[in-house]
Amino acid sequence: MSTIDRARLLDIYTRTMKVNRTDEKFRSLLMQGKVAVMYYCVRGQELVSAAAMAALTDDDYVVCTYRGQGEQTAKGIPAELWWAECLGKVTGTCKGKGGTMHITYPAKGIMVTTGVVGSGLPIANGLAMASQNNGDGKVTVVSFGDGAANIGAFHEAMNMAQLYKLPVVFLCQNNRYGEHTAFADHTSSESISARASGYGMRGVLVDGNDVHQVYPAMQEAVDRARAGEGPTLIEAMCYRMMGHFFGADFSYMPPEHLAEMQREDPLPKLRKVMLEHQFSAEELDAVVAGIDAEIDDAVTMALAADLPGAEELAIDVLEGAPA
Amino acid sequence: MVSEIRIPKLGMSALEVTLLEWMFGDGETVSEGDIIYTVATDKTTVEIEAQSSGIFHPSGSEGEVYQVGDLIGTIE
Repeated sequence: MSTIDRARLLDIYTRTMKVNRTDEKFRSLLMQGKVAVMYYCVRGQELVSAAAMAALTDDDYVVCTYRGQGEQTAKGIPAELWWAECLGKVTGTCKGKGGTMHITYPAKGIMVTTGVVGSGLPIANGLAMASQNNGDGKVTVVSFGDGAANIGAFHEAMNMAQLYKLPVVFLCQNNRYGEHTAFADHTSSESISARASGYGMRGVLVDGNDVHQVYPAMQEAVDRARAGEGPTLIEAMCYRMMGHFFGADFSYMPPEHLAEMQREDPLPKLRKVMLEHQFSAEELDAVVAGIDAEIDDAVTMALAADLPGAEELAIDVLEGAPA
Repeated sequence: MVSEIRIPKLGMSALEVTLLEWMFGDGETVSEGDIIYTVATDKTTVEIEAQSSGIFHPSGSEGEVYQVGDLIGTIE
Protein backbone atom coordinates (compact mmCIF):
# COMPACT_ATOMS: atom_id res chain seq x y z
CA MET A 1 0.00 0.00 0.00
CA SER A 2 1.26 3.44 -0.88
CA THR A 3 1.64 6.11 1.73
CA ILE A 4 -0.26 9.31 1.14
CA ASP A 5 0.26 11.85 3.88
CA ARG A 6 -2.72 12.92 5.99
CA ALA A 7 -2.90 16.43 4.58
CA ARG A 8 -3.11 15.06 1.06
CA LEU A 9 -5.69 12.47 2.09
CA LEU A 10 -7.89 15.19 3.55
CA ASP A 11 -7.43 17.21 0.38
CA ILE A 12 -8.51 14.25 -1.77
CA TYR A 13 -11.46 13.50 0.54
CA THR A 14 -12.61 17.11 0.34
CA ARG A 15 -12.36 17.16 -3.45
CA THR A 16 -14.13 13.79 -3.70
CA MET A 17 -17.04 14.92 -1.56
CA LYS A 18 -17.28 18.20 -3.44
CA VAL A 19 -17.76 16.18 -6.62
CA ASN A 20 -20.27 13.87 -4.97
CA ARG A 21 -22.35 16.53 -3.24
CA THR A 22 -22.45 18.58 -6.44
CA ASP A 23 -23.69 15.51 -8.31
CA GLU A 24 -26.34 14.75 -5.69
CA LYS A 25 -27.53 18.36 -5.68
CA PHE A 26 -27.73 18.47 -9.45
CA ARG A 27 -29.82 15.32 -9.63
CA SER A 28 -32.12 16.62 -6.89
CA LEU A 29 -32.69 19.90 -8.72
CA LEU A 30 -33.38 18.01 -11.94
CA MET A 31 -35.83 15.62 -10.23
CA GLN A 32 -37.76 18.58 -8.80
CA GLY A 33 -37.88 20.17 -12.23
CA LYS A 34 -36.19 23.26 -10.75
CA VAL A 35 -33.57 23.25 -13.47
CA ALA A 36 -33.96 21.83 -16.96
CA VAL A 37 -30.55 21.24 -18.55
CA MET A 38 -28.55 18.26 -19.74
CA TYR A 39 -26.49 16.66 -16.99
CA TYR A 40 -24.20 13.64 -17.19
CA CYS A 41 -24.06 12.04 -13.73
CA VAL A 42 -20.68 11.18 -12.21
CA ARG A 43 -21.90 8.95 -9.35
CA GLY A 44 -19.27 6.22 -8.92
CA GLN A 45 -16.45 8.14 -10.57
CA GLU A 46 -15.86 10.81 -7.93
CA LEU A 47 -12.60 9.46 -6.57
CA VAL A 48 -10.86 9.12 -9.93
CA SER A 49 -11.46 12.76 -10.77
CA ALA A 50 -10.63 14.04 -7.29
CA ALA A 51 -7.42 12.06 -6.81
CA ALA A 52 -6.26 12.90 -10.33
CA MET A 53 -6.85 16.63 -9.90
CA ALA A 54 -5.09 16.55 -6.50
CA ALA A 55 -1.88 15.61 -8.32
CA LEU A 56 -1.93 18.85 -10.35
CA THR A 57 -1.05 22.47 -9.68
CA ASP A 58 -3.57 25.23 -10.37
CA ASP A 59 -1.58 26.12 -13.49
CA ASP A 60 -1.65 22.64 -15.02
CA TYR A 61 -4.10 22.17 -17.85
CA VAL A 62 -7.14 19.89 -18.00
CA VAL A 63 -9.26 18.87 -20.95
CA CYS A 64 -12.41 17.02 -19.96
CA THR A 65 -15.66 15.73 -21.40
CA TYR A 66 -19.32 16.54 -20.92
CA ARG A 67 -19.12 14.12 -17.96
CA GLY A 68 -16.55 16.52 -16.57
CA GLN A 69 -18.17 17.79 -13.39
CA GLY A 70 -15.61 15.82 -11.38
CA GLU A 71 -12.56 17.36 -13.01
CA GLN A 72 -14.12 20.84 -13.07
CA THR A 73 -15.11 21.06 -9.42
CA ALA A 74 -12.15 19.05 -8.09
CA LYS A 75 -9.70 21.29 -9.98
CA GLY A 76 -11.23 24.23 -8.19
CA ILE A 77 -13.73 26.14 -10.31
CA PRO A 78 -15.52 28.28 -7.67
CA ALA A 79 -18.97 26.81 -6.97
CA GLU A 80 -20.85 30.04 -7.70
CA LEU A 81 -19.28 30.33 -11.16
CA TRP A 82 -19.73 26.66 -11.95
CA TRP A 83 -23.42 26.52 -11.01
CA ALA A 84 -24.21 29.76 -12.78
CA GLU A 85 -22.64 28.43 -15.97
CA CYS A 86 -24.54 25.14 -15.74
CA LEU A 87 -27.78 27.08 -15.40
CA GLY A 88 -26.88 29.27 -18.37
CA LYS A 89 -26.58 32.51 -16.38
CA VAL A 90 -24.49 35.59 -17.19
CA THR A 91 -22.58 35.15 -13.93
CA GLY A 92 -21.14 31.81 -15.09
CA THR A 93 -17.59 30.96 -16.17
CA CYS A 94 -18.55 31.49 -19.82
CA LYS A 95 -21.28 34.10 -19.25
CA GLY A 96 -23.86 31.35 -19.55
CA LYS A 97 -23.03 30.62 -23.16
CA GLY A 98 -21.20 27.34 -22.55
CA GLY A 99 -23.58 25.46 -20.29
CA THR A 100 -22.89 22.07 -18.75
CA MET A 101 -21.20 20.66 -21.84
CA HIS A 102 -18.76 23.49 -22.61
CA ILE A 103 -17.33 24.79 -19.36
CA THR A 104 -14.02 26.62 -19.58
CA TYR A 105 -12.14 28.28 -16.72
CA PRO A 106 -8.49 28.95 -17.56
CA ALA A 107 -7.85 30.55 -14.14
CA LYS A 108 -7.85 27.02 -12.73
CA GLY A 109 -6.54 25.32 -15.85
CA ILE A 110 -9.88 23.96 -17.10
CA MET A 111 -9.16 24.73 -20.74
CA VAL A 112 -11.80 22.80 -22.67
CA THR A 113 -14.87 20.70 -21.99
CA THR A 114 -15.73 18.78 -25.13
CA GLY A 115 -19.15 17.52 -26.12
CA VAL A 116 -17.86 15.05 -28.70
CA VAL A 117 -16.53 11.65 -27.59
CA GLY A 118 -12.76 11.36 -28.09
CA SER A 119 -12.26 14.90 -29.33
CA GLY A 120 -10.28 16.10 -26.31
CA LEU A 121 -7.10 14.11 -26.89
CA PRO A 122 -5.67 16.04 -29.86
CA ILE A 123 -6.59 19.30 -28.11
CA ALA A 124 -4.61 18.15 -25.07
CA ASN A 125 -1.65 17.43 -27.31
CA GLY A 126 -1.84 20.99 -28.61
CA LEU A 127 -1.81 22.44 -25.10
CA ALA A 128 1.05 20.15 -24.10
CA MET A 129 3.03 21.06 -27.22
CA ALA A 130 2.59 24.74 -26.40
CA SER A 131 3.93 24.09 -22.90
CA GLN A 132 6.85 22.15 -24.31
CA ASN A 133 7.69 24.94 -26.74
CA ASN A 134 7.25 27.66 -24.14
CA GLY A 135 9.08 25.76 -21.42
CA ASP A 136 6.40 26.73 -18.91
CA GLY A 137 6.58 23.43 -17.03
CA LYS A 138 2.85 22.80 -17.20
CA VAL A 139 1.38 19.33 -17.55
CA THR A 140 -1.86 18.66 -19.44
CA VAL A 141 -4.28 15.97 -18.33
CA VAL A 142 -7.02 14.80 -20.65
CA SER A 143 -9.85 12.79 -19.21
CA PHE A 144 -12.03 10.54 -21.35
CA GLY A 145 -14.02 7.33 -21.15
CA ASP A 146 -13.56 3.82 -22.47
CA GLY A 147 -15.78 4.60 -25.47
CA ALA A 148 -13.42 7.39 -26.54
CA ALA A 149 -10.53 4.92 -26.75
CA ASN A 150 -12.09 3.50 -29.92
CA ILE A 151 -12.21 6.81 -31.74
CA GLY A 152 -9.56 7.43 -34.39
CA ALA A 153 -8.36 10.62 -32.72
CA PHE A 154 -7.32 8.56 -29.67
CA HIS A 155 -4.79 6.61 -31.73
CA GLU A 156 -3.49 9.65 -33.57
CA ALA A 157 -3.05 11.57 -30.33
CA MET A 158 -1.34 8.70 -28.52
CA ASN A 159 1.18 8.24 -31.33
CA MET A 160 1.98 11.92 -31.61
CA ALA A 161 2.27 12.46 -27.86
CA GLN A 162 4.78 9.65 -27.51
CA LEU A 163 6.70 10.66 -30.64
CA TYR A 164 7.24 14.19 -29.31
CA LYS A 165 7.39 13.17 -25.63
CA LEU A 166 4.68 15.67 -24.83
CA PRO A 167 3.97 16.56 -21.18
CA VAL A 168 0.51 15.02 -21.20
CA VAL A 169 -1.31 12.39 -19.16
CA PHE A 170 -4.09 10.43 -20.84
CA LEU A 171 -6.57 9.53 -18.11
CA CYS A 172 -9.07 6.94 -19.29
CA GLN A 173 -11.92 6.57 -16.82
CA ASN A 174 -13.08 3.11 -17.80
CA ASN A 175 -16.61 3.24 -16.40
CA ARG A 176 -17.58 0.10 -18.36
CA TYR A 177 -20.04 1.82 -20.70
CA GLY A 178 -19.50 3.88 -23.84
CA GLU A 179 -22.68 5.94 -23.67
CA HIS A 180 -25.32 3.16 -23.73
CA THR A 181 -23.04 0.28 -24.82
CA ALA A 182 -21.22 -2.11 -22.47
CA PHE A 183 -17.41 -2.31 -22.73
CA ALA A 184 -17.40 -5.90 -24.06
CA ASP A 185 -19.78 -4.87 -26.84
CA HIS A 186 -17.61 -2.03 -28.13
CA THR A 187 -13.99 -3.00 -27.42
CA SER A 188 -12.02 -5.95 -28.77
CA SER A 189 -9.14 -5.76 -26.27
CA GLU A 190 -9.39 -6.62 -22.59
CA SER A 191 -7.95 -3.34 -21.44
CA ILE A 192 -7.27 0.14 -22.77
CA SER A 193 -3.98 0.60 -20.92
CA ALA A 194 -2.43 -2.42 -22.65
CA ARG A 195 -2.66 -0.52 -25.92
CA ALA A 196 -0.01 1.94 -24.69
CA SER A 197 2.79 -0.46 -25.56
CA GLY A 198 1.71 -0.29 -29.19
CA TYR A 199 2.79 3.35 -29.19
CA GLY A 200 5.91 2.73 -27.10
CA MET A 201 4.12 4.55 -24.29
CA ARG A 202 3.93 3.80 -20.60
CA GLY A 203 0.55 2.31 -19.69
CA VAL A 204 -0.78 1.91 -16.15
CA LEU A 205 -3.91 0.09 -14.98
CA VAL A 206 -5.36 1.10 -11.60
CA ASP A 207 -8.43 0.41 -9.49
CA GLY A 208 -10.25 3.72 -9.71
CA ASN A 209 -12.05 3.06 -6.45
CA ASP A 210 -8.79 2.87 -4.47
CA VAL A 211 -7.18 6.16 -3.48
CA HIS A 212 -3.90 4.34 -2.84
CA GLN A 213 -3.77 3.35 -6.48
CA VAL A 214 -5.18 6.38 -8.31
CA TYR A 215 -3.25 9.18 -6.61
CA PRO A 216 0.27 7.65 -6.70
CA ALA A 217 -0.16 6.55 -10.33
CA MET A 218 -1.33 10.00 -11.26
CA GLN A 219 1.44 11.72 -9.29
CA GLU A 220 4.11 9.60 -10.96
CA ALA A 221 2.69 10.22 -14.43
CA VAL A 222 2.53 13.98 -13.79
CA ASP A 223 6.08 14.04 -12.40
CA ARG A 224 7.41 12.15 -15.42
CA ALA A 225 5.58 14.41 -17.84
CA ARG A 226 6.90 17.53 -16.09
CA ALA A 227 10.44 16.13 -16.14
CA GLY A 228 10.30 15.66 -19.92
CA GLU A 229 9.98 11.89 -19.75
CA GLY A 230 6.87 11.83 -21.89
CA PRO A 231 3.23 10.83 -21.64
CA THR A 232 1.48 8.06 -19.71
CA LEU A 233 -1.82 6.34 -20.42
CA ILE A 234 -3.60 5.64 -17.14
CA GLU A 235 -6.68 3.46 -17.20
CA ALA A 236 -8.69 3.82 -14.00
CA MET A 237 -11.31 1.11 -13.63
CA CYS A 238 -14.48 2.57 -12.16
CA TYR A 239 -18.25 2.39 -12.48
CA ARG A 240 -20.83 4.74 -13.85
CA MET A 241 -23.59 3.97 -11.39
CA MET A 242 -26.32 5.78 -13.33
CA GLY A 243 -27.46 6.00 -16.92
CA HIS A 244 -25.58 7.89 -19.62
CA PHE A 245 -27.35 11.11 -18.66
CA PHE A 246 -30.03 12.14 -16.17
CA GLY A 247 -33.32 10.65 -17.29
CA ALA A 248 -31.77 8.05 -19.60
CA ASP A 249 -32.97 4.49 -19.58
CA PHE A 250 -30.32 2.19 -18.08
CA SER A 251 -32.24 -1.05 -17.95
CA TYR A 252 -29.47 -2.50 -20.15
CA MET A 253 -27.20 -2.56 -17.09
CA PRO A 254 -27.62 -6.07 -15.64
CA PRO A 255 -28.67 -6.35 -11.96
CA GLU A 256 -25.51 -8.26 -11.08
CA HIS A 257 -23.44 -5.40 -12.47
CA LEU A 258 -25.40 -2.88 -10.42
CA ALA A 259 -24.77 -5.01 -7.31
CA GLU A 260 -21.06 -5.15 -8.13
CA MET A 261 -21.01 -1.37 -8.45
CA GLN A 262 -22.54 -0.98 -5.00
CA ARG A 263 -19.89 -3.26 -3.49
CA GLU A 264 -17.07 -1.31 -5.12
CA ASP A 265 -18.52 2.16 -4.39
CA PRO A 266 -15.49 4.45 -3.90
CA LEU A 267 -17.16 6.67 -1.27
CA PRO A 268 -17.46 4.17 1.62
CA LYS A 269 -14.03 2.84 0.68
CA LEU A 270 -12.48 6.28 0.94
CA ARG A 271 -14.27 7.03 4.20
CA LYS A 272 -12.84 3.79 5.64
CA VAL A 273 -9.35 4.88 4.61
CA MET A 274 -9.90 8.23 6.31
CA LEU A 275 -11.07 6.62 9.54
CA GLU A 276 -8.05 4.29 9.46
CA HIS A 277 -5.86 7.41 9.24
CA GLN A 278 -7.36 8.77 12.47
CA PHE A 279 -9.78 11.27 10.98
CA SER A 280 -12.92 11.33 13.12
CA ALA A 281 -16.39 10.83 11.71
CA GLU A 282 -17.32 14.28 13.07
CA GLU A 283 -14.39 15.86 11.24
CA LEU A 284 -15.39 14.19 7.97
CA ASP A 285 -19.06 15.11 8.39
CA ALA A 286 -18.07 18.73 9.00
CA VAL A 287 -16.19 18.75 5.69
CA VAL A 288 -19.34 17.60 3.91
CA ALA A 289 -21.54 20.11 5.77
CA GLY A 290 -19.22 22.92 4.69
CA ILE A 291 -19.39 21.77 1.08
CA ASP A 292 -23.20 21.53 1.22
CA ALA A 293 -23.47 25.08 2.57
CA GLU A 294 -21.20 26.36 -0.19
CA ILE A 295 -23.25 24.54 -2.85
CA ASP A 296 -26.57 25.79 -1.44
CA ASP A 297 -25.33 29.39 -1.57
CA ALA A 298 -24.02 28.92 -5.10
CA VAL A 299 -27.30 27.40 -6.31
CA THR A 300 -29.36 30.18 -4.72
CA MET A 301 -27.22 32.80 -6.46
CA ALA A 302 -27.30 30.96 -9.78
CA LEU A 303 -31.09 30.57 -9.73
CA ALA A 304 -31.50 34.30 -9.04
CA ALA A 305 -29.02 35.43 -11.72
CA ASP A 306 -30.00 36.65 -15.19
CA LEU A 307 -29.86 34.77 -18.45
CA PRO A 308 -27.65 36.38 -21.09
CA GLY A 309 -29.49 38.85 -23.30
CA ALA A 310 -29.72 38.76 -27.08
CA GLU A 311 -27.02 41.44 -27.25
CA GLU A 312 -24.53 38.77 -26.09
CA LEU A 313 -25.04 36.68 -29.22
CA ALA A 314 -22.34 38.36 -31.28
CA ILE A 315 -19.91 38.91 -28.39
CA ASP A 316 -17.08 36.44 -27.63
CA VAL A 317 -17.32 34.95 -31.11
CA LEU A 318 -15.10 35.51 -34.15
CA GLU A 319 -14.12 39.13 -34.61
CA GLY A 320 -16.19 40.74 -37.31
CA ALA A 321 -19.14 38.41 -36.89
CA PRO A 322 -22.34 40.17 -37.90
CA ALA A 323 -24.09 41.95 -35.03
CA MET B 1 -41.94 24.89 3.60
CA VAL B 2 -43.70 23.99 0.36
CA SER B 3 -41.58 22.33 -2.30
CA GLU B 4 -42.88 22.20 -5.82
CA ILE B 5 -42.96 19.13 -8.03
CA ARG B 6 -42.31 20.13 -11.61
CA ILE B 7 -41.90 18.06 -14.75
CA PRO B 8 -38.16 17.32 -15.14
CA LYS B 9 -36.08 17.48 -18.29
CA LEU B 10 -35.31 13.86 -19.16
CA GLY B 11 -32.88 13.99 -22.04
CA MET B 12 -31.73 16.26 -24.80
CA SER B 13 -34.86 16.26 -26.94
CA ALA B 14 -37.68 15.50 -24.50
CA LEU B 15 -39.79 18.66 -24.24
CA GLU B 16 -42.97 16.99 -23.07
CA VAL B 17 -43.69 13.85 -21.11
CA THR B 18 -46.72 11.84 -20.04
CA LEU B 19 -47.48 11.60 -16.34
CA LEU B 20 -48.12 7.88 -16.00
CA GLU B 21 -48.91 7.17 -12.37
CA TRP B 22 -48.94 8.80 -8.94
CA MET B 23 -47.63 6.43 -6.27
CA PHE B 24 -49.29 8.38 -3.42
CA GLY B 25 -52.71 9.85 -2.86
CA ASP B 26 -53.59 13.43 -1.94
CA GLY B 27 -52.77 14.14 1.71
CA GLU B 28 -50.52 11.13 2.20
CA THR B 29 -47.10 11.48 3.81
CA VAL B 30 -44.07 10.97 1.59
CA SER B 31 -40.42 10.69 2.58
CA GLU B 32 -37.41 12.00 0.72
CA GLY B 33 -36.27 9.28 -1.68
CA ASP B 34 -39.73 7.70 -2.12
CA ILE B 35 -40.75 7.13 -5.72
CA ILE B 36 -43.69 9.50 -6.02
CA TYR B 37 -44.56 9.21 -9.70
CA THR B 38 -43.56 7.78 -13.05
CA VAL B 39 -43.35 9.56 -16.37
CA ALA B 40 -42.88 8.38 -19.93
CA THR B 41 -40.82 10.17 -22.55
CA ASP B 42 -40.68 9.16 -26.22
CA LYS B 43 -37.77 6.88 -25.26
CA THR B 44 -38.24 5.53 -21.77
CA THR B 45 -40.13 5.43 -18.48
CA VAL B 46 -38.56 7.14 -15.49
CA GLU B 47 -39.32 6.91 -11.77
CA ILE B 48 -39.14 10.24 -9.94
CA GLU B 49 -38.18 10.42 -6.28
CA ALA B 50 -39.42 12.91 -3.69
CA GLN B 51 -36.70 15.44 -2.88
CA SER B 52 -38.21 16.36 0.48
CA SER B 53 -40.50 14.83 3.10
CA GLY B 54 -44.00 16.00 3.96
CA ILE B 55 -47.64 15.92 2.93
CA PHE B 56 -48.15 15.23 -0.74
CA HIS B 57 -50.65 17.13 -2.91
CA PRO B 58 -50.87 16.23 -6.61
CA SER B 59 -52.32 18.70 -9.09
CA GLY B 60 -51.34 16.92 -12.31
CA SER B 61 -53.42 14.06 -13.72
CA GLU B 62 -52.40 10.58 -14.74
CA GLY B 63 -52.35 10.10 -18.50
CA GLU B 64 -51.93 13.81 -19.24
CA VAL B 65 -49.06 15.20 -21.33
CA TYR B 66 -47.04 17.98 -19.69
CA GLN B 67 -44.27 20.33 -20.75
CA VAL B 68 -40.89 20.32 -19.00
CA GLY B 69 -41.20 22.68 -16.03
CA ASP B 70 -44.99 22.37 -15.58
CA LEU B 71 -46.14 22.34 -11.95
CA ILE B 72 -47.84 19.02 -11.14
CA GLY B 73 -47.89 18.95 -7.35
CA THR B 74 -46.39 19.99 -4.04
CA ILE B 75 -44.90 18.52 -0.88
CA GLU B 76 -45.42 20.57 2.27
